[in-house]
Amino acid sequence: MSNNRKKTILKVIILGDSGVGKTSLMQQFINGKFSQQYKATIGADFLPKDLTIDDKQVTMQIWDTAGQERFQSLGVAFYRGSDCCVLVYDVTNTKSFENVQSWRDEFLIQANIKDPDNFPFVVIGNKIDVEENKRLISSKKAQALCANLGNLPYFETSAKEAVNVEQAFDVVARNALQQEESLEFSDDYTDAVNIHVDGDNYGSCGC
Amino acid sequence: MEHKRDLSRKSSHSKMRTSTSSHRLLNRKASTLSSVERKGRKKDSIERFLESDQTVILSSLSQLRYSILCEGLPRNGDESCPYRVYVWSILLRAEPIETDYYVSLVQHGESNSFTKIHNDAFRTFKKDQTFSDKVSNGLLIRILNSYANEIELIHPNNSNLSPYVQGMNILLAPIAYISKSEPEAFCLFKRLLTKIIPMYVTPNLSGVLNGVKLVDIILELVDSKLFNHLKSKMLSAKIYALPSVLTLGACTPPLSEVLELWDFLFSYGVHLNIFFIISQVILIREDLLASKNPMTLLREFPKLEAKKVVKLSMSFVKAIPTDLYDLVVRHTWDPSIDDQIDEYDITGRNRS
Repeated sequence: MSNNRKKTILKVIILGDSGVGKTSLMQQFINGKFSQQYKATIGADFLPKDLTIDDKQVTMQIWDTAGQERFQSLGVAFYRGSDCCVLVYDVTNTKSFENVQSWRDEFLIQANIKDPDNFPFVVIGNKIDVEENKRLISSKKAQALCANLGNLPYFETSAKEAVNVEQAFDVVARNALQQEESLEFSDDYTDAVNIHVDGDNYGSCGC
Repeated sequence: MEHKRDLSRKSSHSKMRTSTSSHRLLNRKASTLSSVERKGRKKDSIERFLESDQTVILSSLSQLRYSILCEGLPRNGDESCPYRVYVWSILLRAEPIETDYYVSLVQHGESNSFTKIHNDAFRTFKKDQTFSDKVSNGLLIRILNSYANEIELIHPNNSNLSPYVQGMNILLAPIAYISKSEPEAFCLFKRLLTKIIPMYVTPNLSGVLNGVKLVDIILELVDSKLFNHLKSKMLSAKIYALPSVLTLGACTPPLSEVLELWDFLFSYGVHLNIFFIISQVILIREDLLASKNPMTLLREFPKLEAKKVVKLSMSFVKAIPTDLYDLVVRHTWDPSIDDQIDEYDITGRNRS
């Protein structure tokens, strides 16, 4: 373990249409519980979680954003410095699926990503706990889209019943770490990293 | 109680005026609607004042404000003040509208924002049982949709107002809760959005963005240690205060305290919310300073305590330079102050 240096911060941003379950996914991953959602997110919101990835301690900072396009004017501040972007849709909502690509494009523009082809995205189809007949987007259809967008990893989750959430965020974390490490040696190293978490709290592994 | 609610609902279908700017009308409304209440309830001085004839509106208004400051509107246990809707209508100087007009907006059917509204309405104050007992999801949807219809239909070329933005549902909630009829709530809501905080509901939320900048500028001024601590954790007001600015503090429960805070905001100006937000942050400053992840404390502010927040705010308002205070006053409605706020922001940054 590389204990004599600053703990790595991974910034992960969750995007997707309003009501697809972004806040619930974040809550489920961080607190391990589902709360029937209290409110629509206004602006953005973030929660930290300490993780160990292959013996390396990191703090994942998950940013949850408002789904409504009105808030995109705020995007720059929220998107900048992201190490991974999670695109969420609701398997019972066709429109939210159709918008996955535009959320990705929006992110690439707003976050000013230098190497868009290699930036890590993870796609999540949420709400698979619903009855089969309410489901409108098949796995096949979703996988086709992800292949088309550049072989993006795809997960189907239920934030409500804690299905696959852990697994999805594990891939998110690994991809984010990889992205972060690739940036450390590049010129694009910006204000994305040297934030948060004082350098003296190594002992706490929050997994 | 049920019976009383039915009465007021029926009255909303008749052709009576739903709100008022003239005291004559107010007198009529207050006395007709509260006939059931009148028997069992002694009127306090504010209510008697509302029903009395007033000749000079401006001086009467300031008298009303002063009463609210000194006495506050009464609370009967869980019940909110029965005449609060009249007080708010007067303070916001909401013009009366015909119920038929509201009905025509409802009859227009779904606005372009309907799906978004439908998707947010049911999440409004979901954890608050008192609220959902009194305000139905359908009512919230109808009013928000009628407002969106009005903006889309009547001002199709006015791109300065957004038909719907997340957070409007929260702004409507306290109004819907205290109103005795649906058109009345619509009228107050419309007045608040289009005249009192029009810059908050522009398509790019410019007033809200100015609001959060002001929170940063003033927090730095009154508590630079806390400001710098938050800044070092990358926490600007844009991240933690945006919901509180946009919703005039209504996003922080409990609702009973929000109502009291709004009494004050409508009396002395909604711009004061900027100071209220700073107070809410300062009230937990020790915890924030000690925390490695202050955002976990700021995601949801501690339970609102209106009196405490107002009191603390009043203690540092005096320290705000006049030109800055002027920007705070104007930021909710004046489109011309963007540059001035940015300038203030930059000067502040250079100073620190």
